[in-house]
Amino acid sequence: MFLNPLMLFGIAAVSIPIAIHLLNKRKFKRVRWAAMRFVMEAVKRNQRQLQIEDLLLLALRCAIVALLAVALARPALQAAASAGLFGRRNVTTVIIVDNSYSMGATDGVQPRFEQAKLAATEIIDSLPAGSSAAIFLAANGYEPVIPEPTFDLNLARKTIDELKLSDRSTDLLPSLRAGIEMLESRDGGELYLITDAQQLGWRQLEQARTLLKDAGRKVSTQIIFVGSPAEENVGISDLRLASGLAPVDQPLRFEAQVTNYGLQVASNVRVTLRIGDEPPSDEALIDRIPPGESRSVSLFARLRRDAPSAHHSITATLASADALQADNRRTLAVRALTSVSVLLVDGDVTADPRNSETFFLRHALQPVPPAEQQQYFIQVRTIQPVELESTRLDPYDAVILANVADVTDRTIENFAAYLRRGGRGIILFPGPQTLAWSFNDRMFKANAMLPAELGEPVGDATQDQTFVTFATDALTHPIARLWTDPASGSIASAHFYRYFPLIPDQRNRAQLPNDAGAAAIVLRFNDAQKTPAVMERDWGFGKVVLFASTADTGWNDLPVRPGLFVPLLHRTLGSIIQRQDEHLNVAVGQPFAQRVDVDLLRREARIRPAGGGEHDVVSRTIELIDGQAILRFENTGTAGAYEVTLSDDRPPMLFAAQRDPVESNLQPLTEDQIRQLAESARIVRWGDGQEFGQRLTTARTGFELWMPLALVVLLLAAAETFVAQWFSRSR
Amino acid sequence: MAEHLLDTETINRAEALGLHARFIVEGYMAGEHKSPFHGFSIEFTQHREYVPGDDIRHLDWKVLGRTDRYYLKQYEQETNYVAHILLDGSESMQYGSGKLSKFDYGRQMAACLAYLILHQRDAVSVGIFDQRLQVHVPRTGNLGQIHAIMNTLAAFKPTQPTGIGPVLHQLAGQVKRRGIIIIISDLFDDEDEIIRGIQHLRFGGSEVIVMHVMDPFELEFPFDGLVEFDGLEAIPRVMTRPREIRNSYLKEMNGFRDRIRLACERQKCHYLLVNTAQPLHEVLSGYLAFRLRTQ
Repeated sequence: MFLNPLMLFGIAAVSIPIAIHLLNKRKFKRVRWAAMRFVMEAVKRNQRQLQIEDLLLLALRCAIVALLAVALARPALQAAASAGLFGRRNVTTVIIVDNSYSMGATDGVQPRFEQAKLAATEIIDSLPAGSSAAIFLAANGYEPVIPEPTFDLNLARKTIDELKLSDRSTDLLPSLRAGIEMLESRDGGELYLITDAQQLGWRQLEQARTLLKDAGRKVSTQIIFVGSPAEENVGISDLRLASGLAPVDQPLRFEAQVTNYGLQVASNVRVTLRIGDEPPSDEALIDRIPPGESRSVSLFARLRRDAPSAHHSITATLASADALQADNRRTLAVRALTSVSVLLVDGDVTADPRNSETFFLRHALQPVPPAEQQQYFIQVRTIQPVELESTRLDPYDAVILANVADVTDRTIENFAAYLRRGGRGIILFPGPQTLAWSFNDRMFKANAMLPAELGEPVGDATQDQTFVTFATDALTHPIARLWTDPASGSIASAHFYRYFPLIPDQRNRAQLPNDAGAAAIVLRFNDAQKTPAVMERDWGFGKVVLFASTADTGWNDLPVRPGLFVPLLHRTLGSIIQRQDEHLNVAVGQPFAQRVDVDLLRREARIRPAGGGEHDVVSRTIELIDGQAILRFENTGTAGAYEVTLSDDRPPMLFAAQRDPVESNLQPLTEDQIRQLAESARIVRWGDGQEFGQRLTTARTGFELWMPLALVVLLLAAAETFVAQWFSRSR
Repeated sequence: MAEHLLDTETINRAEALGLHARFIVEGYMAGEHKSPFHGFSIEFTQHREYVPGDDIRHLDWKVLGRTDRYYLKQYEQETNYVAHILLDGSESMQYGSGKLSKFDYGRQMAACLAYLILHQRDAVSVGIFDQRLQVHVPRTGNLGQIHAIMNTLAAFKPTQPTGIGPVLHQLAGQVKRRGIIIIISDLFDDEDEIIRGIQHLRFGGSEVIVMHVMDPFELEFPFDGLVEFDGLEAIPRVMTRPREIRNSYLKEMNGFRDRIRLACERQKCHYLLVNTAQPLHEVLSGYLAFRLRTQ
């Protein structure tokens, strides 16, 4: 309550006027007096009034002294935890600055992040001498820039000045928790969270409130909201390779999803696509995006065979002058394929190739005229099951088993070694010859290589009246996602007359071998049970994809629907091949990890961060992790393409960090939510009138009363002079 | 009393007083040729015992021869008036803000008047009273008695409370002939008693002159700060801040003076307020001049 409570002892000085009063009573002249009658008469008439006036004057003087003491003690209206015995106590502070990319939004004058830095500097400036400050950056997770509170406030100022915006999204809870834990371990202090009022950062609002409320006794929290609400924002929320595979010199379809996060219709949104630093290869115009909705556009690019590296960065850019520029670009790292080799194992070889089990597969994998097949990037070799055991699998990117009756133990061992090497996959189409029990026993139960168990086949392949199709809902798997766009045609066009019901693996992680990953459903049938139609599983560093029906027209008409079969097959192949490239695109803030050749172990790899120059290049040692040579890089806070040079004799590779598109949604907290927050923390808005630093001090100390008190003392002193004069008048 | 009179200081003071009185009166008489007090004729009335300082011319040798005692022959003066000077010797007269107390001033005045009257060959008697007549110098017309009067005045020490009324009544009973009664007092006593006493005297046909002796401090009450008034005449002490009650005091004081003055006027008495700050000769000459004018 008092900033300088020692001064309250000054109230004892009230005794001074009382003592003076009493001493004065002792200090008198004694006069031998004759005319006593008249004195006594006069005294009798006035004594009571004189006494009252005496007491009044004494009370007035005591009040002046007491009020002066109280004023010197600097009373404050709010309970100030910062008041020490000798004035303002030093405080331990944690300043959390939100550096998610929404903080890059600008009101046209100053980006939110710059305001946040100014606010943080003002907080440092407002700290009493001897205070310490720790500084955290908060986005999704937190980065302690000054992890322990430092007493060197100049260092803190310098650090704040050098803070950089990231491309992360926001989740403020972890940083709040870390800040509160730090302050609680130091017996309390002040926590400042500087953020935009973006709703996204408070997804766990309820938990944050509980956290703040629980910490309230030791930690006083102030949340400083910077920036004015931004109404309009259009951003690229997704950029994907829609083609499934990324062969060189082929037109590749990329799909850019543009979302309007604003409150008004966005019109004539131009999206361009380019490869690396080349001029745009394609552009598209979206004439209208209603508020809150997304539009996807297809953009084409062709990866050059003669490029210095197989890795390419594909960047989609939005020409929009909205508040938030960061989400107007999105970069995708793609590894170009010069060739893909596929080994087909035909379980039903006939004299007429058109009747063979792999006839449709071959044509679907090489959907070009026979003359061009030699130059096509997918090369196919067909063998018979008996050859499988003796065939070296390594040269092939994928092995497709079509209607194969059985495989030997040796083959299964070969498969395991093949899959463990990575970037490879096995695709299994069962058929009439398939011995389900054998596959179930040896590839499902024994080693969980298959993602599902094959059930008893259902349906009748001899008729074409009763069939199932693929279900058109829940197309969430990357392979199936293409068909969420109606422009890609209907996935339900194929008829399945007979199929093996796939029984998903029910075993938990502990019961599975280490190599087996989680089984995922790619597509389902639209039968009553929504039986899985295609499932996949990561195994080793490869992938196994299991179809429920045949690869020829024996049990279904999928192969004769090239609009569905070819992309499905290519995307399945793509998902297998890209398994080794899927880590090329990480979310901002996620570590990048790349398996590299063992001979590079302990070597230094050079990494040039996104948007960085030669002087920003950092080195990382390639380390042995789980028996693999792994390059790991954590500082992926900036979105864009990162260039990795593993050694001087190899072309550089690329990976890309991509922003979490949810951060583009600048929707602020509602008034109600702010009110809820204000119950457990003090809410301050940057830049609404009163000087910020002054408000901080006021918040720390409460409203100081010494000034009005001093004024009252002055008035009382003036009154005392007047009253004393008036009282001492002759009566 | 005798040892007091032998006290050199007392004698000196009496001398000084006498000289002072003489100076004052002679100073006045130098300009005046007519005594303000009329009457001159001597008729034997009684004997009285000799006291040192008496003129031995008036010794009754016959009595001495017969009884071996020193008696003086006393004569009744054939004047129009006998002046009775009544000096207030109560304790309250001891107050004096300056060098002179009211009593000092009063006895100078009494001495001067006595000298003046004797010098005019008029008779004078001097009495000092408090609650009763304490000292009395009987009527004499002999200027030589002035020393006895002065010694008596000098020797007196005021110690008792005032009681003017009874003294006046007593005097009224004793005064057989009409005379002038000069009361020198601060009159700090019951006003009604004083007024009744004056009435009594007036009833007897005497002229009464009231010399109201007041100290300037009593008239102006100029005290400051915190003062404890220690009452003379056994009145309890009072602590007050006089400045703040000054107006009340003056109102009381002026009211008192006015009542006395009005009563005197009603009784056709001369009332003279004597401020001890004023030089005595001014006061006396002023009054005597006024008296001459009004006779």
